[in-house]
Amino acid sequence: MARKTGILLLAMTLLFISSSCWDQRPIEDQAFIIGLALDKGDDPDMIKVTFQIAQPQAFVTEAKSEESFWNISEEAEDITAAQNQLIRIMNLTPTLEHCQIILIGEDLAREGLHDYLDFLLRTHEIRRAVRIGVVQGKAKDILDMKYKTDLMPSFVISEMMDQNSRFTFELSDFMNIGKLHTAFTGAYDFALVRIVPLEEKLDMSGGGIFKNEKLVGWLSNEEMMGLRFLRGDVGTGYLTVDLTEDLGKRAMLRIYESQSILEPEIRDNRLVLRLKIRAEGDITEIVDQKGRLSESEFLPRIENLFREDIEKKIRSTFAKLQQEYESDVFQLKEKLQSYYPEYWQQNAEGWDEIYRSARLEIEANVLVRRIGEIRY
Amino acid sequence: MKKIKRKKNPKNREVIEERQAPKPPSEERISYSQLSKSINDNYEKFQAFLKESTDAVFRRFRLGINGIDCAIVYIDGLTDKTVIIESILRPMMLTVSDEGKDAESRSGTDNAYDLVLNYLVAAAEIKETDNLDEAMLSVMSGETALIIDGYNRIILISTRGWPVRGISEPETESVIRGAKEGFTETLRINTALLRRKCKDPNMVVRTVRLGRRSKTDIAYVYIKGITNPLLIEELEERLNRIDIDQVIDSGHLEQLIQDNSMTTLPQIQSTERPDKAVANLMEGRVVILVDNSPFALMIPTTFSQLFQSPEDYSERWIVSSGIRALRWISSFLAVFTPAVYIAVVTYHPGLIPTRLALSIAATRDGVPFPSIIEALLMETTIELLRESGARLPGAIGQTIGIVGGLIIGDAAVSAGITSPIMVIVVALTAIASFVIPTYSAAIGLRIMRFPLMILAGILGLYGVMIGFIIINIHLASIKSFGMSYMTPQAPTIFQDMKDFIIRAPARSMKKRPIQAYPIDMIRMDMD
Repeated sequence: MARKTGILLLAMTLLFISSSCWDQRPIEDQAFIIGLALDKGDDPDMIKVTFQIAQPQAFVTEAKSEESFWNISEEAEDITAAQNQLIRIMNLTPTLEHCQIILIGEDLAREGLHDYLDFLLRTHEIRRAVRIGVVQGKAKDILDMKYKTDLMPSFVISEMMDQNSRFTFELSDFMNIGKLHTAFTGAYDFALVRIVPLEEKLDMSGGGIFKNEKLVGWLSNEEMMGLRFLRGDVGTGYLTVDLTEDLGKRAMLRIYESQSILEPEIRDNRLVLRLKIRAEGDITEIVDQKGRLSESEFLPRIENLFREDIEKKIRSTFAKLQQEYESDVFQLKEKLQSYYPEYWQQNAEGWDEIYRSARLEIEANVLVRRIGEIRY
Repeated sequence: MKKIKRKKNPKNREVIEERQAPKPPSEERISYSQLSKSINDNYEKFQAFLKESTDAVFRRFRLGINGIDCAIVYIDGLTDKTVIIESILRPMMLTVSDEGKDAESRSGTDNAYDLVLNYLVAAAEIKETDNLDEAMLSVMSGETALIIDGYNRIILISTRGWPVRGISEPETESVIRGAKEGFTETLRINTALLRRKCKDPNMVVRTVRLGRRSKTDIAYVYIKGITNPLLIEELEERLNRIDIDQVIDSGHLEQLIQDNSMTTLPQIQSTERPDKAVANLMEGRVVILVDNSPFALMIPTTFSQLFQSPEDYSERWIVSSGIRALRWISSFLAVFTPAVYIAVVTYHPGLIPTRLALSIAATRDGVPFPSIIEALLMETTIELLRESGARLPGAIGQTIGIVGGLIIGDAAVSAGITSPIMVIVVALTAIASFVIPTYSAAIGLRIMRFPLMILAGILGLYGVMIGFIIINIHLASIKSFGMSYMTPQAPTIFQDMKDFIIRAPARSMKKRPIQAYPIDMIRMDMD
């Protein structure tokens, strides 16, 4: 009995050990692709995929920025084919597990996103929180830029997206491949962060508007602010208005807290959007102040001017989205479905017409809490 | 072919007894168990055994002037000669004659034996026997055998005295705050140390003698009224089952009575500190003291006990709880750190944050070995350093440990044999294993590292999880004298949790923990 148990144990142990480390993926043999850029290729049917591969030696030795990463461009039909081509030219195994950023060039975005991004949605290696942005120009140029603040551009760009959307209104905050996937499957429109390549630096502001997964247009900085108010996640940011003659020249407000609620309503068979906004902030600057803030009418008039400015921006954004792009980036359709299900069932086909003739009513409220900034 | 017959070990008790019974070196078989009335015969019987040993001393003298023949037998080196002279020789040789007939008339007896036993020998401890075996054993233990002509009884006088190591702080269990006494090698001194800390007359010290040739004294101590009688019965049964020729040390005895021999962890706790022993006595445990061993055994033991240290009870409970939680965390680190490192670096590079992954990849770039080989190499080196440090005396050992570790680690990194992260992992593991207060638990846990590393190298984190589950199953299945090893975790006993990871405030520990199944549960606030 003991002998049989011994033999059994020995057999199991040998079986167990015989596999040894055949599934090994040593970390030094991996090529970490930290950035991905997609453009239209020179051939009409091909796309050009640029992989930014990290060179870890940069962390150890005092290397210059240009030796810390390696951009390889491959032309292929889709990303999978491009990755296969990549394997042929490197001794390291490429892996997307540490990918920080995915950039899409303008030309490719106008053609439609879903077909080319399908691989990224199915692969297990990409994390849900990888940032994604659309470039006004060639996406490859962004990956080639060398920044002084960090060794690898992918880190720079992804950290910018992370932090800057919290400090300013001018960036869209919809920039996650997971959220993108939700938008694809839910068939709603979205706005991605826009990156503009400039001479030796990049500008991240505004957004690209997508309808039916195709890029239809851009929103500038101010219009982006309107969109964020419409969508209801505002965060913090700065607002500048020109004051009337008797008040001063210019005032700047830092909004640190705001809530906005968008409710659809069917009135006389017409869609009306009621937007309630409440914003609270500190005055950061008043140029040529011509009165005292403690005087009874001074501050409310400044608040009024801020309020009108917000309303103006929202209306201009809404007009652009409604008339020019006809894209519903703030999930209006879903809200209508949940607020007025019978109306939706009757009028589902005419959605575009309904959207185009919708009216916006804004009820805004701006409160100046302090006359100077404190740290948040 | 010729069949070679090998003699098997006899399992026959009589054969063993015959082989191991004390035999006189001479050819003739004397009927030695019976003493005779003639002193010469008795003397011969002693001589038959001890003639060849030069440290056995035979002293013949007479009781008084022209008195009766007497002889004493003792072993030089085990006895205190002053006591022999003052308690035995001087009264019997000189004082009797000084007082002359007065002594006899005063005592009212003309029986020399009675005279010697009750009036002359001024010793603190005396035994009588008519069995030669018992007399031999006593002489071998340091007592003096007094033979008087004409009587077939021998008086055994306690004259024990031998050089003893002074009471010093135990090296393996030093604490920052607490008594600095440690057990020594003499059984009687150890029991005295226990009595010093607990003056309860209910504390019972019972002795057995184990080992056919070594005849080592084993004392087991418990407090009647707290300790469960079933526990004592079980212990006695296990001790009676031992049939061995020598009990080397308390560690040897521990292995003879423990429940499970197939595990690396101790099921019987050992300590050099009397205060720890008495604290355990108070909780209902039995303390076993072995002669010639400064380590006392305490039964039963659970896993959580291995993480307790006397200084936990001398400090405030919040501080002590924090330190105890630290010990548990460090025991986990000591076992799992190298395995998790190997698994993550070899199989799951996606689990590490990106910058750290790049950093590790960079430092591992020139290393010729895969992670698992590197880890096994470095861990073996650390074990070598540790063992060698233990063998070298005092300060040299510690210096070699530190310097050797630093230099070897640094040189290995510069030569490109290992990566600096591996050195950090190994150093962290070593330091974490030193935090565990019980030495036997620390080495037991340390050994578990190696199979875990191999599992991690084969199956990655899945292998580590498998190893973790196996270790837990194994720990939960061990029993120590009927008490599950993982109490209070495995059979969850909330009352014992007060002294588990946190140490509850002293005022709230009103009942004894159930771990040792005491029969008197109340510790504090009796009314």
